[in-house]
Amino acid sequence: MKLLLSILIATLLQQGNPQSNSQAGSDSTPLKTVELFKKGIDENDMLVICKVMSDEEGTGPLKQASYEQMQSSLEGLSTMWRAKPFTYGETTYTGGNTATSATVKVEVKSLKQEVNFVLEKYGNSWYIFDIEIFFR
Amino acid sequence: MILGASITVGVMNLQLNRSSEQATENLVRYFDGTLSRNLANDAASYVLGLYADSATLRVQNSAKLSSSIFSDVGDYSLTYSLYDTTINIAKNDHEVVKLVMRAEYGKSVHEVMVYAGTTFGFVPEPIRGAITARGVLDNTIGDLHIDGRNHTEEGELENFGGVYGISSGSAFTNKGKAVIGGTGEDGSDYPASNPANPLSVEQSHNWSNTFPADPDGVFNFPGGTLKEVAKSGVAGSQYVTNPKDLQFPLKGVTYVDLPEGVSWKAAWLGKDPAGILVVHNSSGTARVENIASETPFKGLIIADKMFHIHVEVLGAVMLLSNSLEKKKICTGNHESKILFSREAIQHATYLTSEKGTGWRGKVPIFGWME
Repeated sequence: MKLLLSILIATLLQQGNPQSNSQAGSDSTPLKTVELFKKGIDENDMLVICKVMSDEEGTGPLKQASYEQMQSSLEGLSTMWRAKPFTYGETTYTGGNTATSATVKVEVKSLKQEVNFVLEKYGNSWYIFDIEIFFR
Repeated sequence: MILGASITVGVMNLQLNRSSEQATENLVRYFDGTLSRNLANDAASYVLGLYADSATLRVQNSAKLSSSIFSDVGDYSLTYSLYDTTINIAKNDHEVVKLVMRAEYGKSVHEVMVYAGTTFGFVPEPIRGAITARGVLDNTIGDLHIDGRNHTEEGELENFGGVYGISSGSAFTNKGKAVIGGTGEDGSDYPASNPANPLSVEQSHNWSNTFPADPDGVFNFPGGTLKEVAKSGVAGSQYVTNPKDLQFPLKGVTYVDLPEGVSWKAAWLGKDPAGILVVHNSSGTARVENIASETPFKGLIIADKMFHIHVEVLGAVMLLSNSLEKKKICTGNHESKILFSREAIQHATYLTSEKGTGWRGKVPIFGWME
């Protein structure tokens, strides 16, 4: 019973920590972060989306206090991209093996868009720092 | 002897009488001439005032102007016509309206001809560049094509009336290798190039605390004016706090009042966007990103902050925040152009000018011949 309670508390704590529930872990890659972002958009799960975002200054993961503002900021994007398939292109890293910055190219064919997701690495996890959309 | 003297006196008297009549006639003619000239000029001003409030006003065939306008002057008549024509200035053809005003007073007739522009409105004084900012623009502009030379609303180059490509209150380094051109302080034009001619860029401009604190400040309007115009809905104007509520096409004054800390991250402006686009909030932190449209935006964009500018603008852009993007990099907007267009800005600002306040400051005058 105690073990069950401990697991439950640990799970709840983890859910409350934005860094631990998203991309934390050495297996995180820029592409996986963008895929998770897209999953959040398709499932209209703004919490998932916020958890993979960097803060605007690029100093670390988005703070929970800023989730609401980020949700509002991304509302238009998420409406635009919901249920629109992403075609993932190449990932380019800046800085070689110890890269802390990367760009994932994505194409949204149905909207004639090319998108650059710029990610920053904090610890072992990658977070979306910037999104640049090219309308063709 | 007496007879001779009488004749001499008679002749002198007659000459004096004639001189007196001549003098009186001259005085009357002068008075009539002055009055008819003043009448013609004042009546021309009156018609231009009507034209300022109604740009479509035309009177193809000479028509009488109501004689009740200047009722205390006396017996006079005024006829006028107002029609479209073209004049050539500095090797450029300009579409204008020609006003011919004919005033008759007594025996005097006076005609005034005025050539007036067909594009009203004004270019606000703080617009010093195709992009004007107080903050550091280095990361904001990317590799944009920026040209402060004057263009028509259709993007054709004009021979005069340009501004700097970039005017910044801070130092400027062309980090993104933007292609920049413009008009220098001496009025010389410099085609867009990379590296840019330094004379097409104004950096570290000393605003001496005159940089607009908010969008109304750009026009020297009382605080809240633009918001009121937007809320009034005049000429398609709209006010929103969430961009998803925007109606297209954008025209008039479009005021996007973003909550603090919120960015408009996918700013799609649709087809044929025009007018004055304001993206601002009371804390001066409203940020617009990935701004794009199907066809060029024509008019004036005023935002606290902008980034990833992928829109073509014919008009000008003004960025109000002192803290523009410092870390993110924009590298792929070389296909987008910011072309200064006096005509597009005038079209956009005309809407904000108050009706019934005369033509001065609204209607450009190319010639006034008395």
